[in-house]
Amino acid sequence: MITCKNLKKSYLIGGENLEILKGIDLTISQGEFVAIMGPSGSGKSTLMNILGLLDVPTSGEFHINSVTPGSLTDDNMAKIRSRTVGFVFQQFNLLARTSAFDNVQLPSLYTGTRRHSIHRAKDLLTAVGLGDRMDHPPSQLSGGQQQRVAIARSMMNDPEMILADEPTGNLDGKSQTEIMALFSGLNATGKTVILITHEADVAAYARRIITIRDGLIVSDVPNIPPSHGITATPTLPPHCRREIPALPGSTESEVI
Amino acid sequence: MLGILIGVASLIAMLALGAGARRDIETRLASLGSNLLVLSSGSPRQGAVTLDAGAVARLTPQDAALIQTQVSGIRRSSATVSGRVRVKHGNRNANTTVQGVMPPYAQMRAMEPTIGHFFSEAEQRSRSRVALIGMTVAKSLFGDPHTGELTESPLGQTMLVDRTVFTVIGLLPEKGSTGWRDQDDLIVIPLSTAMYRVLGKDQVDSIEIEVTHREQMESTQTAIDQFIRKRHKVGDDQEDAFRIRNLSEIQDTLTQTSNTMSFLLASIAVISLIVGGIGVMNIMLVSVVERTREIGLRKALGATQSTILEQFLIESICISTIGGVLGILLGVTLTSILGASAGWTIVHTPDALLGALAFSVVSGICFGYWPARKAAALHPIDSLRYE
Repeated sequence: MITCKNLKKSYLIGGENLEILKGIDLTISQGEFVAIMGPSGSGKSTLMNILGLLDVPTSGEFHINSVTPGSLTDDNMAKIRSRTVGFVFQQFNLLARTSAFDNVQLPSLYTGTRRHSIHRAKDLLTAVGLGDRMDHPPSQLSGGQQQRVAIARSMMNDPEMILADEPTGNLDGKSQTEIMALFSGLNATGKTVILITHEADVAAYARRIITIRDGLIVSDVPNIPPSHGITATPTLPPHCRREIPALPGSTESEVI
Repeated sequence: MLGILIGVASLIAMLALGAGARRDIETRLASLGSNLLVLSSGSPRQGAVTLDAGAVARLTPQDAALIQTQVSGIRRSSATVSGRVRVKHGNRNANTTVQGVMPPYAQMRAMEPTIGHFFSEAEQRSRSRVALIGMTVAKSLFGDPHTGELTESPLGQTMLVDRTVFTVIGLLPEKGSTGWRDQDDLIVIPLSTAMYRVLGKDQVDSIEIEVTHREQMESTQTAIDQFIRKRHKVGDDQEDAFRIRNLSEIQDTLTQTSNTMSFLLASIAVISLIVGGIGVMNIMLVSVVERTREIGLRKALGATQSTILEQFLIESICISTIGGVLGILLGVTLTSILGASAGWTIVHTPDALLGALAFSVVSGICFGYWPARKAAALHPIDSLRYE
């Protein structure tokens, strides 16, 4: 699904060329659950922006579903982005003064599917456990609830990939467990989940952990997620629970 | 929005005042009659001495009749004489102007009586002692002595004009005053009666001529001038023997003045609208900065430049349209209050209302475009990080 070869990104800051990514080689297949870890300044956010089609690399190859975003206009990138990538941010980034329901519905505005979106938005909110709070604005929701709205929103256009940037950075432990369970559940339904974090216990939910330091990948290891996060999943269909521990190692072995 | 509101309100008010002023002037002009030429005998000079009017040529009622038949392009004409008389009814009397005219004068000067009738050609010829009276005269002769209001119809009543008994056959329409002159302070009687029974004149003061087509005013004026010089054997060198005044020139001047006034008022209003528009632009610019994160989010979720541009344009159009509608309401209310309390003529034309609304929408587009462009051009990553 995603292929990066010798991916480089540099910024011109104060007349100086600052290289953030110094040659990333990475392949992520459909259905993976990847955590990208690294200290701040390591380039993981820049990598996420490129993977999320918000930015283009300075050099190197980057393909997503055999599309090369570097050759596209901003508007075409926006179109692909709206169908391919669902974003979850650390600050939730919900529209204030807008109900949870409308927030979830928002992405459909940009794909022209607004007419069919009402049922889907309701289903998604119910799936994240907020079926009774659809009309509440973000200010009346707790942090964990807001992030669940954001996750429902990321699923609105049924993207193949969820990109989460420190999704639990602003949350307490209990909410963190709930949110991570949702991601595991989404992954179990076949979505690619890419998680940016610097917390090891968050990364532990993923099945592959990539560590970046100074713009280079320093480690890329498979991981067996602890089972408690999955059994706690409130919305996960029963069959997923059986499948996940049984998933073959083949997915990991394909990588790199 | 407040800016647009005030701008539109003042635009509405100014346009209503302008239109009101113009209608005022138009009604006054209509009372003057239209396409009128007034021929009067001039006051020729002999050396440094100005002689009496009519010293060279005296105008007669026959001149009026001949001009009517000999010069083309004339709809109607009437010879007139006027003078001051004392009118008396019972123990009440008044000093007023008497005008002796011919029947066409009623149409030419918009003097068809509101009640009663104008005198006929036969009454004119037989020197009948009939009179039409203006409202001011009617009130002072027949009105209530304390309030001045007319309580009984003056029709059929008799009154003394100087020493002659006249019957009132009609009440002239009210015309108000043009500055210093009360147009309702007069009585109108047949020309022949005025000349021979009241004023004792054997010449007329002026001949009023209504031209059929406005474009032919000048050529008809020349034709009349030539005809009358020929008939009275006055040479071209005696320029002052006759005077022909073109009342439509006065009319044009007044109309132009009122147009200039309305234009001035409207341009002041447009300036205030532009100021209001700049207010909207500032609001939108602030809103773009405040909502940078929202814009970044929308872009991350797949909004293209054009969708963001559209969103912000629609917002600014909404703001200015709501402002415009409120402004129209405010403007109409204010001017109606003004009109009722200060007695000014206020005219709300649908054009002005629609125009003001259109203007506020257009200013929403124009002044919203730049902030919207700014929003659309924001980079998603930078704006998402914006604090």
